[in-house]
Amino acid sequence: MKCEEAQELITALIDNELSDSERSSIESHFKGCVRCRFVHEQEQALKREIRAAGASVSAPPGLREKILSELGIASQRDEASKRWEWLAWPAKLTLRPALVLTLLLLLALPAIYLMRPKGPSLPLFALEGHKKIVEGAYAYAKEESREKLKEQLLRSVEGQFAPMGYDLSAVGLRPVGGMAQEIGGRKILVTIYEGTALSISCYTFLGTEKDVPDDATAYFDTEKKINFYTFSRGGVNGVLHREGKVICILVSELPMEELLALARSKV
Amino acid sequence: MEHLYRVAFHLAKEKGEAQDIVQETYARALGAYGQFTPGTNMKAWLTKILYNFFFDHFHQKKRWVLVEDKAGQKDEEADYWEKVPAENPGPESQILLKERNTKITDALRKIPEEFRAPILLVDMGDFSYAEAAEIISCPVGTVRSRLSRGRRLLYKQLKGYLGAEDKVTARR
Repeated sequence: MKCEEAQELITALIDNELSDSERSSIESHFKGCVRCRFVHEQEQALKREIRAAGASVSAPPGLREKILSELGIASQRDEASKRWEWLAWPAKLTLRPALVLTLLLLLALPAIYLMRPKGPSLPLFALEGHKKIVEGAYAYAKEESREKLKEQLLRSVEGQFAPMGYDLSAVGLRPVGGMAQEIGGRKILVTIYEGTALSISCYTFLGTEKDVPDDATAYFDTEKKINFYTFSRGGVNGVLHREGKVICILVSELPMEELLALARSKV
Repeated sequence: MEHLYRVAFHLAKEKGEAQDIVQETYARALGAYGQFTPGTNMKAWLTKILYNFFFDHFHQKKRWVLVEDKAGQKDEEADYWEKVPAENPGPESQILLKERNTKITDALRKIPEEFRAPILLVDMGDFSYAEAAEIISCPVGTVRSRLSRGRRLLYKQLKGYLGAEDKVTARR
């Protein structure tokens, strides 16, 4: 093999893109060619430098928000985007939740992951907690009046935040009681709703979207402009969303689609 | 998004243009959702949208700085790797690293887009040759040859900035 012929094989060797026979050929050539061995080392070093130079480039801080904003208001494209309107534009934009969700995940999850708080996961605690409520392992304060229950729970956290209130009568559920808990120094308010064969627990606490479990699936509600996150453990489903500084999680054995629809109905 | 911005940054002339390209990529991805197959590589799909947009609307207007790259050219080709200065640049500070990265970025912009794109995709984007071929719509063998050629062109551009330490190490 001539050195000129070896060049492409050296490139592909570095990128681990050689077939077995090509690898044998180039390795055999290396045995008798100091120059090509040297070229191989130099090209490897160059690849490392290119990769490092690439990693040194970061997107400007505002770009992520700009794109998120655009994805949320797809029909009202901003000035930067309008600059390209003279170009052939594909079919009218329509949002498909799964795709929007995936794009949003690509945009937002790395940042959420890096800012993840330390300490116990309250959403996962909520799933476990709901199981215990259903099993009767927790003694909670009985109160069927929504207003009185809200008042009691609000008092238990000294008015720092109020429990998220749902009207679930449409699905045959009514509030039956509630309790305040503390996990990892964070206070949680739980409102329990029950029907004939179903119960839903609503967990409320102060937090951010950093509290979202790693494996949660995100749904961006384009009308309400907020994210809903769904997650499950052992047949128990949870839907999390944030309103200001308050995180709300609905937990139930109800199918995820129905639970998600209930969570969205409140906001 | 960081990956898309990096590709756009190295394809485009300026940062503002790169931002617009990334923004447009996401908008187009939404418009072309029917073409995405769930379970396939979304990063590659988005990169293809970005590349197509760039290629269709920027490529022909762009005036690339010409570099010597005629097929069969013998000039420095035979010994271009050896033309690295022997002196060791010394310990690298953050400033030097930044300077090196800037030099590489500048050098990348000086090589023709057809050779630059495979470098961006394979070396910076960690795509396989097959994925890169799909993105830039060419055979896998073309990716390999352009990548090989592109790295050599880049090395020529970077003479004096890279390799001195490696060369010393290599000769030990």
